Amino acid sequence: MGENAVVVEGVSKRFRLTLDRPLSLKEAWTGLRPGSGRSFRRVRSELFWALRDISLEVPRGSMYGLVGRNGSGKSTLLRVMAGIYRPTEGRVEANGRTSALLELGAGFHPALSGRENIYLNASVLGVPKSQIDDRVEQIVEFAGLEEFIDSPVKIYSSGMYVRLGFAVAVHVDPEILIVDEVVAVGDEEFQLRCFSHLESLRSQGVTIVLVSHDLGMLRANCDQMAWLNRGLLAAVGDPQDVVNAYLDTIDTEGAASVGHRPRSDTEGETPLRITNLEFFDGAGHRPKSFASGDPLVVRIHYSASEPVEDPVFSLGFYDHNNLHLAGPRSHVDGFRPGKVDGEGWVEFRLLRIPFRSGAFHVNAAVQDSDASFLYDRRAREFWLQISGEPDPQANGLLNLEGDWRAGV
Amino acid sequence: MTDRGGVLEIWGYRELIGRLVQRELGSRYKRSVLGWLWSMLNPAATLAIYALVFGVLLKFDPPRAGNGRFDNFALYLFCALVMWNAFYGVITGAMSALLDLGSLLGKVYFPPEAPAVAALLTVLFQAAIEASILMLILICLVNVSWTFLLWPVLLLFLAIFALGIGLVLSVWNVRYRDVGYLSTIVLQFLFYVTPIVYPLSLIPERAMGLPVRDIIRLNPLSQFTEASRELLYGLDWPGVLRLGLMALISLAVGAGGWLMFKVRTRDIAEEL
Repeated sequence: MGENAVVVEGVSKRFRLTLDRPLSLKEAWTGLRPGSGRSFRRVRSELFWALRDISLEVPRGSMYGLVGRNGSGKSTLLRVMAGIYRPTEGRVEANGRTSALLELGAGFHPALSGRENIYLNASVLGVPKSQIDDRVEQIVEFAGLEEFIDSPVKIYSSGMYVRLGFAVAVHVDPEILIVDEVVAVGDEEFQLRCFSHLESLRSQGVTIVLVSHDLGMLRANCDQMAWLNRGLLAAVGDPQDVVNAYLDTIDTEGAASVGHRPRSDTEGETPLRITNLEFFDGAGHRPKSFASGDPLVVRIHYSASEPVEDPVFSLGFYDHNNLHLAGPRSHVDGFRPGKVDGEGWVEFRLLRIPFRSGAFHVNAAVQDSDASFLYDRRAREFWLQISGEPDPQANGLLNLEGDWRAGV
Repeated sequence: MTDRGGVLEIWGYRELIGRLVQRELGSRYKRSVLGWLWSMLNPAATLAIYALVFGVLLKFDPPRAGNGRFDNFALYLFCALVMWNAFYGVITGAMSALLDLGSLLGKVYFPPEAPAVAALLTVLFQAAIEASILMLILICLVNVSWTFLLWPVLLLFLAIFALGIGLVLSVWNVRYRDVGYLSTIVLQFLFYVTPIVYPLSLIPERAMGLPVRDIIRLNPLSQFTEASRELLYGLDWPGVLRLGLMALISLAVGAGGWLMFKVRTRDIAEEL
């Protein structure tokens, strides 16, 4: 028990999806409801397993990340960990005072003022009033709500809600902090402050369980991660491995669905198609992952059913959060492929990969010669994996190859 | 968090309960000119209306007070009304408190009893004000005895009794809002089959072939209102047997209601 803050043992959670919940005593009593088609219909419910046999251990003082698609049971698992939901099977042991930030305005009462809600929240978490008195100003300052703190929270914007919720959750001296992906609502500056605060909490020995779609952030900060897929634990352990495994499925699932998807945004048959995208290193090999600073060749394979004069090829590099990083276009770079017909390829060559480690997806598109008509576009299908330990000293997504000088 | 669901846990959340009570009391009579005076004006007005209708117009006869020097219908009525107000307040308060705070239960954990307990304390606070005024008047009229000291105990029994019922109704009310509407009707009926605005002696022994007076006497609430009158107005001891019986009934109802509430609220976070 000593070294684990949270132990989840064989936890399953079943929900009753009441399709026809009895809405009045009469229906509950008779079990019948006047239906629209038939005269009477049984009130029925369906069972849905949100979690199945989940076992994991969160070591004390660690940061634990949870990933998974929407509806994979992440939030349910957090609620079970926080003691809000009772597991249908299995058990959960949380050793320490647990503070949870599960959704917008965690436990806020809309009619109360921000200040009153701080006290209400603190008391819900079992923090004595005297302790909160000292903290209120700190909380207000952290949330940046000095002007609004005595207004009812129902007039707050969603960003203000989250800021206050986060500020309260981290200032009540939790031993275990459970944070759903709500923090993403705040602006960038606030997110940065949140993460640096989480970091400092962890260094004070607070256990943090975190759900996020920001894979890069999770991988860089978590000690361990778990990946939930449709209520099942798909992978657990080292963040790098879990993220890679998770990205792999996205990749393959994405590729699998290509066949059913119209490849072109244009109607009907297009004369020029992009058939594949390949990544080569400097030696002409196709490694599974690249290192930052390596040379990179992106080869765009095309297939033209009729001759096309000087098409424009373009690429788009995006990070895992879909942030557009770069978009080289052939005509802008002064490249004209001439007349293309049948099968062939064009290449984009990069001397040094500027991206730091992570997973990036590369889109490709081809247009007519004056870039006004789109022949074909392939998006979110091709993933470029840049491996390597994230350098804790380095910030940002890109390596800018500049140098520093001093002067007076 | 280790002892989940026990009485100790509720005690552990006393800070929350205190805050809820404070909130309830604080928000009450906000934006009103008379403010806190309303908490006295309200029962006073009710009392005046009942006293006028039943005491003056219908001429219900109160028995003589304990000191044998006067009889006053309003005071006789007040002794029972305090009890009824507390009973009514706890039940409706518990129901609305759970609905009101229920949405929080899906976001943070706290014992689901906390809102009801807070409602109970709020009502007890109000009852204490009313009872103090009543006792003050009685003392001024030199109608006072040691029996006054037993009255808080009686109120406590009533509170436990009402809380048991209120807890069950509040959790049903989450599922079926009918319960809320239905209970207003039932409470209204209950008000008139409990000797509050009339003395029990006014009810005929038999009516429609039924021993109505005995039926009304068997209503546990009647025991509380009658005992309250005996203690404060009649300066009389209800007797150990009756007090013991009231204690037994209130503890049984309180514990039973609480257990039912516990079972029904295990998954309440999903329902709200």
